[in-house]
Formats: sequence, C-alpha cells, structure tokens
Amino acid sequence: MTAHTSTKNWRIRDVILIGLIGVIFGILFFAFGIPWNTMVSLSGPLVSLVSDQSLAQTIGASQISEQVATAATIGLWVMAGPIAGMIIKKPGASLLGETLAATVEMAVGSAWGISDILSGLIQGAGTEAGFALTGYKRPFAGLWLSTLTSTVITFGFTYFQNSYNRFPISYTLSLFVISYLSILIFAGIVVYLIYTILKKAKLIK
Amino acid sequence: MRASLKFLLVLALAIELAFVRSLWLNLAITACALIYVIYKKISFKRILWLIIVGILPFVGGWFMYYTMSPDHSKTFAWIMATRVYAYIFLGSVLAFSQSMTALMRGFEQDLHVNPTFVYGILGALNFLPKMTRQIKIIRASAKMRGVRLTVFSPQLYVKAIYNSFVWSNNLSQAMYAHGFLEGKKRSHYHHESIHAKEIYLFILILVLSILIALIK
Repeated sequence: MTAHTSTKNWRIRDVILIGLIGVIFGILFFAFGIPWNTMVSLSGPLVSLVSDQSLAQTIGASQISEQVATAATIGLWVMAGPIAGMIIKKPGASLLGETLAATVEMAVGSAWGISDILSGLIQGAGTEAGFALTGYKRPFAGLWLSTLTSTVITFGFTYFQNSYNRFPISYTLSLFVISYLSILIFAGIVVYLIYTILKKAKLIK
Repeated sequence: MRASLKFLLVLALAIELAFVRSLWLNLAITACALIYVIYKKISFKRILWLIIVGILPFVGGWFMYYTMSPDHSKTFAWIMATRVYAYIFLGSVLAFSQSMTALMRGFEQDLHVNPTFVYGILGALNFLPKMTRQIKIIRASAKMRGVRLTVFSPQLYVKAIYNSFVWSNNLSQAMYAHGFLEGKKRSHYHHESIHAKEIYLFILILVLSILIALIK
C-alpha cells in the first residue's frame, strides 16, 4: 500500500490518492471557512466592547483584526499542497492537490467562489516551486523551501488582488511576516508531523 | 457552451476580476452569472445559500476598504465589496451548471489532458460525499474516546489520509480490472469536436467583459 516514488510516470493510483487528499482538504477548508468568517467579523465589535472605544475606532480595529486574521490563518489554506508533495514526490503533485482542494471547497459552496480556484492555483504553484528547487529529491529541504516560496508567491498575489498598495507599508510588511509564520507552522511543522506519523505507519517510503 | 470552454472562460473572467477594478464589470458578471444559473434551473435553495454565505465578506470588505484606504473612497469600497458576489456566482456557473463528468470529458477530448489524470481526478471527486461522512466518523470516534480532534491535530489528517491510501488502492485495482491502461490511446463512444460558433461566442464574451471594464 506504499505510494510509488521511484518512477517519474504517474500511476492512476497516485492521481486518485492526490485527488482524495484534495477532497479531504477541500472539505476541511470549507469547514474552516464559515467559523473563520464569523470570527473575523465578530472580532472587531468584541474588541471595542472590551476596550470601550468610539464607533470609528471600532470599525478600524475590526478591519485591522480581519487582515491580521487573514495573514495568521493563511497556513491552513496552503496545507494541501505540501502534504500532496511529500506523499507523492513527483512534479505537479502539490499543484494538483492544492488546486483540487480549492475546487472542492468552491463546489461545496464557500464564500470566495471562483477566486478559490485562482488562489488554489497560485498557492499550489508556490509550494510546487519549493519542491522543484530540490529536484523532488530531498523532501525535507523541499518542504522548508516550499514554506518560503509559497509565502512569497501567495502574498504577492494577495497584494495585488486585495490592493495592499492602499495600506501603509509597515502594516503590509508585518502582514507578510505573520503570513510566513502561519505558513511555517501549518504548512511546515504540522505537515512534517503528519509525514513522520505516516512514515512510522509504513504508508510512505 | 461546452464544459471545457466554459471552464476556460470562467477562469479568464476570474483573473480579470482579480486585477481589474471596475464596478460595472463586477455588476455585469454577477447579473449574467445569476441569470445563467437560474436559466440552468439550479435550485432556489442553493442560490439563497450562496447569497447568505457572501453577506459577511461583502459587509466586512466594504468597511475594510472604506476605513483602511487613505482617501476613504466609497467607490473603491463598493468595487471590492461587489466583487465578492461576482466571484461567488461565477464560481456557481462552473460548479453547478454541468456535471463533473461532462467537465472532465471536456478536459480529455477538447483540451487533450492526459487520461490518467482525467479519470483519476474524476474517481477521487466521486468520493466527496463518502469522504465527508468519513471525516465526521473520525471526529465522532475520537470524541467517544474523549479526544477532541481540531484543525491543529495531525491525527485528524493522518486518519483521513490513511483512508485515501486504502480507497485509492481499491479504486485503482478496480479500474485495472475494468481494463484501464495508463498512457494508452482510448476510443470514445461519444465525441464532438469544437464548433466555430462556440469559439466566436467565447471571444465575444471576453471582448464584451473588457469593454465593460473600460466604462468609467
């Protein structure tokens, strides 16, 4: 039941496995999405309730918390790619896994609609770049590099898509650092833990 | 329009939405996509769900871009807020107006994607309801042992991935048993090549969307 890693050719079993990993994360992404949106919209009013601020300050605070929350949770949405890339060490695995996860999330009915697929493609390409830099030979180096490349590529896309150029530069920079930490924790450390458990169970070589 | 061309068109429009800031483009895409989805007889409950799901990002987005942008531009806030629904309904065109089988067949016949990928992905996507059930079972059985599995617990992922190993193994064996071969040419019971009319329609919609985006 171990995955094929020797040949560059894709077997049907590998494709189905990556597809199923995409399905798992698509379902989980959707499950994260609704509480995420609620939390993000409620965080502002809650902050103001505690600190007794004026209305203008409240709205400002809620928006800042929304952006910070976006940056802090980005790692969750990037996870499908590195897991797919670690299990099936072949070119295209991360891209396929992440894009499928995004497609499933959209098909189930998320609040982001078609931009899910765009983000999925971008995030998948970001992760893929990290593994590609090692030539798909050294999974751990690839995983670490993928946290860097996916942060740069996904943040670059978000920068344009959400018009971050309208925000102060120091603020944008801190968002970048938070995004990297989030990706490092979820798409790096958690993925590493999952990989070691699967390896111990002799499911992957 | 056939599924493969529709996919490309929707993706092109999505890229346009991501980079072009135009209120008219957002409204036009939302309206056209909504009309198309209603014409394709998508259930009213589903459309209502899409509208409800978009409310939070719509309101949140409006206030964020209004307060965060230095000039407090209301037009800009409206552009970013209406884009939420343009994205959602454009997505619904792709997700609900044709079957996944039709889309995958289009990928294979019109876009010449490798059949191994087409059939593998199609197989995996058909597991969607079963996987949803499986994740619920994993969480429930952990709860019975007093363990709460959250998004931070690797066990949740490991167990679901373990299931994928078993299922992908079984499904691939079943496909081999039915005569599936990787990298071999396949014959098709039903094959229709792309008509020129469909390509003209594709280009027309794309040009129209660019013209609408130019309206100030």
